[in-house]
Amino acid sequence: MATYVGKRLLLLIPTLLGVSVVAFLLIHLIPGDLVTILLGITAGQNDQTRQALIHALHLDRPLAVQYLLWLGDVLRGDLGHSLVSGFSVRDELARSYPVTLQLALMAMTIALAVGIPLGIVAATRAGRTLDASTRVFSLLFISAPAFFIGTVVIIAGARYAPWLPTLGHVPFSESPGRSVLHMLPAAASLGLAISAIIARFTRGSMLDVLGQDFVRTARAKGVADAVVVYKHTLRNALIPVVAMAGTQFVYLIGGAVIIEEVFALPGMGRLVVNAIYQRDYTMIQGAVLLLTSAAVLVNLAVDLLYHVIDRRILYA
Amino acid sequence: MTDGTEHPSDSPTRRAFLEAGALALLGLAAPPLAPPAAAQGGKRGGTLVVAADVSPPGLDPQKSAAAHSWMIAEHVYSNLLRRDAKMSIVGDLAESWQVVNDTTYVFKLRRGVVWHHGRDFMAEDVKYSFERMLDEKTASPWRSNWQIIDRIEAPDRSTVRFVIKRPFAPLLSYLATPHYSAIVPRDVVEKHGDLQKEASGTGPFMLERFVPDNTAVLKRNPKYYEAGLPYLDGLEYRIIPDEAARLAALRAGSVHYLWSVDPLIDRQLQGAAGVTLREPDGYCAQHGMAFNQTKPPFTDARVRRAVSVGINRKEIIASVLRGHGAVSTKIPPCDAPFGYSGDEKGLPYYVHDSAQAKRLLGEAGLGGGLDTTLEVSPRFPQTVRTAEVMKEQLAAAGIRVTLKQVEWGAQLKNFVRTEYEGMSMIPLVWQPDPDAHVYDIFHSGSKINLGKFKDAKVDQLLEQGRTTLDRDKRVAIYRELQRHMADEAYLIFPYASGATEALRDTVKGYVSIPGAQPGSRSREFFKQTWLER
Repeated sequence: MATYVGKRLLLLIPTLLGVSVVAFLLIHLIPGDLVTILLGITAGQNDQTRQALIHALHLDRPLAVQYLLWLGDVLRGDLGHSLVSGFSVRDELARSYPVTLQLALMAMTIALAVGIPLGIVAATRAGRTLDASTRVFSLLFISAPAFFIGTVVIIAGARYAPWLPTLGHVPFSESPGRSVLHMLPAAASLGLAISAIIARFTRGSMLDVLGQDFVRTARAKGVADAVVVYKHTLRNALIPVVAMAGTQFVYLIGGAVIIEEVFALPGMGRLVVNAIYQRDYTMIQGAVLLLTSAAVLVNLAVDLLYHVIDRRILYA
Repeated sequence: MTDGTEHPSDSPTRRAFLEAGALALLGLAAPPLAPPAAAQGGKRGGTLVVAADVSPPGLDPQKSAAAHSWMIAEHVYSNLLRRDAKMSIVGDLAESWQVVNDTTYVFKLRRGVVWHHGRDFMAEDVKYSFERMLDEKTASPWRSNWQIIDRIEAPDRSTVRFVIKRPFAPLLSYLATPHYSAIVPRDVVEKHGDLQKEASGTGPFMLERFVPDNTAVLKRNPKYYEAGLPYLDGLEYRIIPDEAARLAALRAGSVHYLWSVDPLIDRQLQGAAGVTLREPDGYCAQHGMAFNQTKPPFTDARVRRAVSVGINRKEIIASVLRGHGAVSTKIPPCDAPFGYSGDEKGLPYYVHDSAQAKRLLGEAGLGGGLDTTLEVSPRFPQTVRTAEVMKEQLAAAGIRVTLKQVEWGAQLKNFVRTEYEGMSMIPLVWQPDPDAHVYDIFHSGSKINLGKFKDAKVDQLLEQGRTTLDRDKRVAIYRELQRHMADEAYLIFPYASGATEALRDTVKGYVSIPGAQPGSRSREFFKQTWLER
């Protein structure tokens, strides 16, 4: 187990290096001129001003040198400064990532808290009214994009409950209560969409397991219905659900750009998209590094979770 | 046309603002400053919340070319001069000024002005501010504006002397333009390296907190030099990228003020209680379409003219802008008398005529019609809609246009370097002086001549406009330039438009100058604004 985790963590290093090289090259392949974007049309073409900026940003060095300069700084713990604003990349990431993590955790909590019970109810009452209503719920939230639901929440909130905070962000460190309250509409918009998928998945997986021999045997032995469902069936049915929820969570911690835009949350999604629009190379590099590490770590955590759910799964 | 940096999400009109012939003051000693506008029923207190759409990439007025930076910074910093509600140039940090000769200007500074961090303001600060912009290391986007300066002297604590290299008509306009010439403190710059996140100025509001992508909170400067102002305790720019969310926040009352370039804004806010809309008082922000004139067919004036008469400007304004716009050249109608009055009068090839367009094409040997391309960026939906209407109109004249949607960063680069196939169109912004509107993009010697056209007459008019200090003569020069540009159809300006402002009814004392840029150039107006509670 420990060797497995150690191996996975070591594997992180080549993964990160590879991704950062690809990200660095890709952004340089995109057409567009950072200096014109930065200085504006008139000043951007003034030779002296242009050269001064290009030199200051090391953009006159070969790509490989630029990459190595960046890598050297990273190894010394310095992610550099934004080419556009001059802000410290580390500070910007430290500011945005907690927002994204909080949103991801809240959304995932809502998704699991709503999705799994709905799936169980639908499976145990397959073909009945309750099953049909959860199917309607699922289809609605799977089909309607989260940003649509979010916009409806904001507009309806403004009209019928103007005192309700729907927009903007209060840092968790400043006031945990208000922070969670402010983020609730955004987290619910995201979470409900995922809960719909989880509910469908749980239902299908439960029905599979419920049809298996050991369940029939348990029932034949006279085991109580609740024990059959929650102890014998659920545990076995959860593994594909955890795999799927894990994938969803990896997406979430990459930053939910559109939901962040709609609800004016200062998270990673907006940070990265703006950095790409502005060709802010150092910011993109820093963000890619952070997001990749987070994705690899979450994948590892999900893999380890299988073992917690089903002790038969072992790691070599 | 110093734009193109961080364009706001839908159109940069908001960064345009109006300037009318403020140069009349040139050549005369300025009258002493009128006493500060005293409280006219204004009530102290409250925080006004503005919904902004884009997070500023830093707040340093000398480093950031983005409108979203200066719309916040202009409340923090002061300039030597400013514009009043009638757009005349009046003193700000300068109490009076004198034009000693064509190239020497002397400014007498206000006494008793204090920086937000407590130090006395003095002449040395003015000298430092311009030298910082001229320093290559600052990489200021405004550096080229000030290369006209030969030297700045500060003979005593309250006198500044500007000596420029040659007569330069736009000088006072530039000095009254918040983002071009904000006065900054050396000690604060040196302490923090720059003013992107920290700020100390002499303006009506002080920066309390700036969290990118979230908020910029300003509080009242109790030592502001206009006694009694500002009325507000604070001013907050809350960054809300989504337009529907901004409008919802205004409805709910958590935001007091916003602006929109969406011509359907009145419908969007229909039935919103306690909200008032203000139509733009003038149209200042133009769209510009350039032809690649490095190769045929657009090297032929007849082909360009065919495009010019082939598009129906009035119809575009009626459909795309729902009437909220005006016919324009690069110098927009809100810059009257320099600009044309907003219709086609006096401008050749401006009145729509498909038959004439076909005839012109025929004369140019393109009787069978013409196939060409038009680049636009999906970043600006209004530009795309404009292009779609133009495509239909030009088809009727035998010009078959293929629209190419290109990512903004890439399109901007192609546009300034004339690296596109046929035509390319972007939203342009208002500039603080007619010279700034046209010189760099029309001059044959300029690297950013749009379309790479060369015309000796244009160059000559540009030089005259830049060095003629007499206002009436200057108006005649720029009007002739615009007429000549329309006649040659070097560039197409389909229209000028503006942005609508929406305010909560509790906002009192807010005045916007004719055609003013909502969200920006509003320093004068927010300091006199108060909230009725």
